[in-house]
Amino acid sequence: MKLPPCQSADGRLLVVAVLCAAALMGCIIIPVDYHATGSRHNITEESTNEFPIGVTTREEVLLALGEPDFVSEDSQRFGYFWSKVKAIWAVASYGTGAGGELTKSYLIQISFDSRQRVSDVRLLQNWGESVTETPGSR
Amino acid sequence: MRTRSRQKRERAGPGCSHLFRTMCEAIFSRGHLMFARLGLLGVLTSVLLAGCVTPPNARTDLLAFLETGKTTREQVLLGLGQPSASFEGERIITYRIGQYGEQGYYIISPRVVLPAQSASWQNVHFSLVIVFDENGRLRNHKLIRVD
Repeated sequence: MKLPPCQSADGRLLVVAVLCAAALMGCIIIPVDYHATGSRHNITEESTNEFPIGVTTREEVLLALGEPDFVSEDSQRFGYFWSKVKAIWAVASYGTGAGGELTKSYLIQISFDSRQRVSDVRLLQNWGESVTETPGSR
Repeated sequence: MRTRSRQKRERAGPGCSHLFRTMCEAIFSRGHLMFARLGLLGVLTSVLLAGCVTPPNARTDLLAFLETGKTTREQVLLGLGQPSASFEGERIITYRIGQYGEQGYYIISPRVVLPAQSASWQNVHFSLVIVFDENGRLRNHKLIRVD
């Protein structure tokens, strides 16, 4: 027996698609890629490859990247932070509206050993204005 | 019968000081209306824009005194002020440098950077890294562009 359109899988999918389209009718998302206000511009994800472990000194890191954004109390870890705006969104409906930016934050964490040499370089990234450590990040 | 000058004083309002009354008379006097208003506008504009157009001691030769092997840590501190950060017992110090067009560079004082803005590089164009040797003399320095 053939099911009516609203009860078949394809029909349900169509209904969901129509509802989503109606809800997003007043929404616009523009993909962009620029540094957020106040972010440093001189560091990228590829910067993690510039410091061979066991060889690079703390002095070399500072001369390459400049002053770090964060320093641990024992000065054994440096953090270089930057953030980028990845999209601009806006929604309007019946005389009201809202908008904002979708930001992605990055942090390069460099650890040093007792000989002041780089022992670990880690890239952390997260959507939003702060960075939290994620498993498997590098 | 009130004289014209008395009318002007009354228009200026009761309780005005003599100087303010004189200014009010000048502004509202028909004979000086245009020049007085223009002068006042010019003074106000200059005061308001003074902080916008005047670079904070920007100099093209700000870092000219740095000489490898000669400049001492004391000379650097006296010339550039308090560093924004120091490492390895002040063997390595850093400064945040701004640039004002062709007028030169200026130091962004760490006192200006609020704790909440310590991670902000807004208006900072360079990070100056200075390295000293075991004798406290300049061994290496580099201006790293961050904007």
